Amino acid sequence: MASSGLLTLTDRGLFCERGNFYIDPVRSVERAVITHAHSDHARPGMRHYLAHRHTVRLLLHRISRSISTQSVEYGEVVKMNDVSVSLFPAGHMIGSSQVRVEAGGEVWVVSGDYKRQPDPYAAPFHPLRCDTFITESTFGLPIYHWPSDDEVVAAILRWHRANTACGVASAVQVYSLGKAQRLIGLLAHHVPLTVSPGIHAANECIRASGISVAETSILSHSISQETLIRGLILASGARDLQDLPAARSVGVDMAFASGWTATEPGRRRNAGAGFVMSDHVDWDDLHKAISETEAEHIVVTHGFASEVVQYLREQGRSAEVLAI
Amino acid sequence: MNRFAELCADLERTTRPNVMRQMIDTYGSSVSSETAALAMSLIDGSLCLRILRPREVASAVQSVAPLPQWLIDQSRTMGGTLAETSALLLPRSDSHCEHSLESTISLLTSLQHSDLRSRSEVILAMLQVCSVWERIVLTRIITGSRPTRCDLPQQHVEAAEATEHRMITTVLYAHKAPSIGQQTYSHFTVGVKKGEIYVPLAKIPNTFNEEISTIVEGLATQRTVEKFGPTHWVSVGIIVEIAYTDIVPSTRTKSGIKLLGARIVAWLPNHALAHVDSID
Ligand SMILES: [Zn+2]
Repeated sequence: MASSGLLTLTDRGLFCERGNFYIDPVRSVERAVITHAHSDHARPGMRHYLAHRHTVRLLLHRISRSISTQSVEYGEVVKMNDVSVSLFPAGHMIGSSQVRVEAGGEVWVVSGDYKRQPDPYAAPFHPLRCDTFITESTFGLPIYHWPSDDEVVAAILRWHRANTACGVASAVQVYSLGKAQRLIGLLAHHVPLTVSPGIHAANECIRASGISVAETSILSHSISQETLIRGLILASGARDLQDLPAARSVGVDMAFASGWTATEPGRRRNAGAGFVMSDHVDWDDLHKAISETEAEHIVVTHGFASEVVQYLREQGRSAEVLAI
Repeated sequence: MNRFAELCADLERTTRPNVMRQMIDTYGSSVSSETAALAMSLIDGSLCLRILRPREVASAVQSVAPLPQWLIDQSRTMGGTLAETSALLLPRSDSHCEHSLESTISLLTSLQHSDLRSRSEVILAMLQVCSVWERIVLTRIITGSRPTRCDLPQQHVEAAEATEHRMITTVLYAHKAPSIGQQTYSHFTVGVKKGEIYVPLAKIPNTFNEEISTIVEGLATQRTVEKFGPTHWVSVGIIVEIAYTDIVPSTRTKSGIKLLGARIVAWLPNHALAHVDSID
């Protein structure tokens, strides 16, 4: 990346020398700006964390009560030396943010993880004009097009109904933070939900921020076969179900809600039911986001970065890969 | 067509025969008995249409989704077969196919004797207004595949396969086909881990279907380390699931065992060497 730029990649992560802070650093630093609470972006060991207030709550819950934090609202400007830093919705999960960095008339935006589909718990992605846009590309190939939530919900319910009729329990394996709440929001009024203790803890933490998450039962040893079969289980892993007496006496079918299940090799790899649901942008939304930034230079990270960069260059845009 | 595509997708989401039957019954009770019978003949493979070859689908798609060839090739490494990748490469559509399964199939049947251009045009027009799953199912049908990848709960199929065992292996050698035909390699020697090394287990006929075969053969050529006449030594990493009926001891093999009745089940593009079985 151009060394004269506002942000450079160091062995600790994306660094703004002028403002003396890192974005989603990978090792201990003095000052970290965190895009969202997923563990591959928010790591322990930073002297100070700055994030959206919903993210801060999750960090205190996930990392430690004793970390030093600063909560900000979307759009609020924080000065770091002569650099103005502000966060805007990324639509990826609750509290997820793009980081806007401005100094000397130059604007850089770091997307973090983001999506443009609606999510009951994430403020909608907010396109920002900038000179340089640093975007993720987890699903940056033209074969990835997400179906609507309605389609996905209908498919999950058909699968669940067929399993129930045959006395088989249905469990969807999801991240406890983000995807779990999105599914709860979509499914709670269709089917009784039972969640693993990890997802329950995340729900409680989100409720403590004043955001309502539908009530669900908690997966425990005392759960009956009847509840297992009739309801839909959201679990963060197969382990959540292994030791339950009721789960051992009825069959449990495990499903995955992930963008990877959009293709046949992806479905085969996951060996289980696959529902195409992602918290990352698909091909069309990625390019829509890039063009809406009107950025002169695009920096692409995570995923199919070299493919996206080559494609953008062939379209006459200035682009480069950043291997974070 | 929408309900049928949903059924095909649903069937792939379970491996339980009773759940599959339940899904088929639910579908059957929502359509006429003629539609249900037609659906079953497609699903069990007894009705098979071949309207376009996979590469003809690909070039039809390319005419409306102009993407650079390298990006299409790259997409294919993640998208699976050529036909299916092509279906996924079409621009997003928010509509559904409005034709019934019967009218779709009778339209397809009437196309069988038209020339390539009109077949491509009609198919492309159909695909463009379909949802993603309808596209996948329709593409499979027109290229002569079964519309769903599920293993149907059929008694005789289960009985025939009951004595088989499965194993995950990596390709060690690719054997050149004796004459120039469709195939580059007629056999693959697959192996498993023994300690730190990979040892050959069986030389198995290349029975991949045309599409998968093209990909796997391409990979084998790319990964060829050295050639010993028609035998090409391939670097490990092409992961293949095999089935066999029995294992017997053998003093003539490095592995010390020999597989009987070995056959190829599937190429596992997203498996890594870590998944390969070991005989320790
Ligand atoms: Zn994330």
